[in-house]
Amino acid sequence: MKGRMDVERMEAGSSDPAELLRTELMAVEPSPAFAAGVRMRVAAESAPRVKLVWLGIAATATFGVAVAVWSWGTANTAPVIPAAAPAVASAPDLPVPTVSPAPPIEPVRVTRAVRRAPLVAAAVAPAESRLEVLVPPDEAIAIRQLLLSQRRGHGVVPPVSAMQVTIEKLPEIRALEIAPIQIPRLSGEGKDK
Amino acid sequence: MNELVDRLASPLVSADEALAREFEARLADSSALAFRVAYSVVRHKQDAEDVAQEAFARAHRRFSALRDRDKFRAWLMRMTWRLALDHRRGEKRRAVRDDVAAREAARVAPDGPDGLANERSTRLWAAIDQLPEKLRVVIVLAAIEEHGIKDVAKLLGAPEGTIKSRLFDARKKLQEMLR
Repeated sequence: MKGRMDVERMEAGSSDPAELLRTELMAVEPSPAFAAGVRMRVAAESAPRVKLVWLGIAATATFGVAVAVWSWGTANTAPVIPAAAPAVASAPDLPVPTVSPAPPIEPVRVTRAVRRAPLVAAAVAPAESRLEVLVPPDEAIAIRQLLLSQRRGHGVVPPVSAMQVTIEKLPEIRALEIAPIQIPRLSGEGKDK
Repeated sequence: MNELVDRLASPLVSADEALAREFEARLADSSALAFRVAYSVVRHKQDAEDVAQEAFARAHRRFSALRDRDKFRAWLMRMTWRLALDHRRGEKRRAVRDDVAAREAARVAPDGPDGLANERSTRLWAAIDQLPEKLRVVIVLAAIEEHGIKDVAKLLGAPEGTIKSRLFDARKKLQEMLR
């Protein structure tokens, strides 16, 4: 209807070029196969793209798994404990044994360390060596208390006197003289046979 | 196994289906626009369809970024215009090489039945071809689907005042040429 009106307007000799152009353009329509043609082009283009998309997804997933595995392994490695300074008595003028108990070590929290056990052991080894204190536990406690009281300035530590060791002379060892034992025969022995 | 794959892929498939439905809606909505824009440049029905179809295929590649209707139409129009100009340049080169005058005559002649209308149409298109591109695209878009100045401004992404003055200039020049 509109097209016919346009044609009539054109035939009537409309002099407006914009109107003429409108009539020209409105007279043409895409063919009914136009949409089908677009769909065919889109389908032809999207087939290789789908393959590429799946390849991209696969590559991304592989990369993600690799990163996850790597980060999991990194997270499970125990932090390296810095080596502590050698144990030294804090009061050099005191005749205190030079071996002082090592400060208590904070427990290292290791999560899921089962698979990386050798690494953890290697990392913790220096800390364990510091724990080897050759002082009996009760003495260690006493030493610790002593050092603590000294640091706080409580009391005066009495000087430790040298132990008086008296060594008694051992008796001389002499060779024992043991006389051979004589066993007398019993009466009637050997006659029965 | 297939069920698992189907279940995992179902969100993707449904997203694709939604996109496909939207694209179909845009295709129905904008096919006449694209075709007429292409026709205004190439002046041949089959070539205009080819150009418009190519523009739609390209729009489909970027459709996730062009889901908005206005954005889609503007992008499609610009792409069709550019492709049509490229096509026409290629055709001109081919025509010069082959020296096929008859082909050019057939191209310029519209599908109208009337001889007078043919002559008028030929003159009109010749005048439009002489317009600068900025003016040509404005007058063509204004002629398609009775676009107002606001619609043309939206399609071209230009201020309404600019479109108005360009449309005025284009009309004036065309009238002068067709006088």
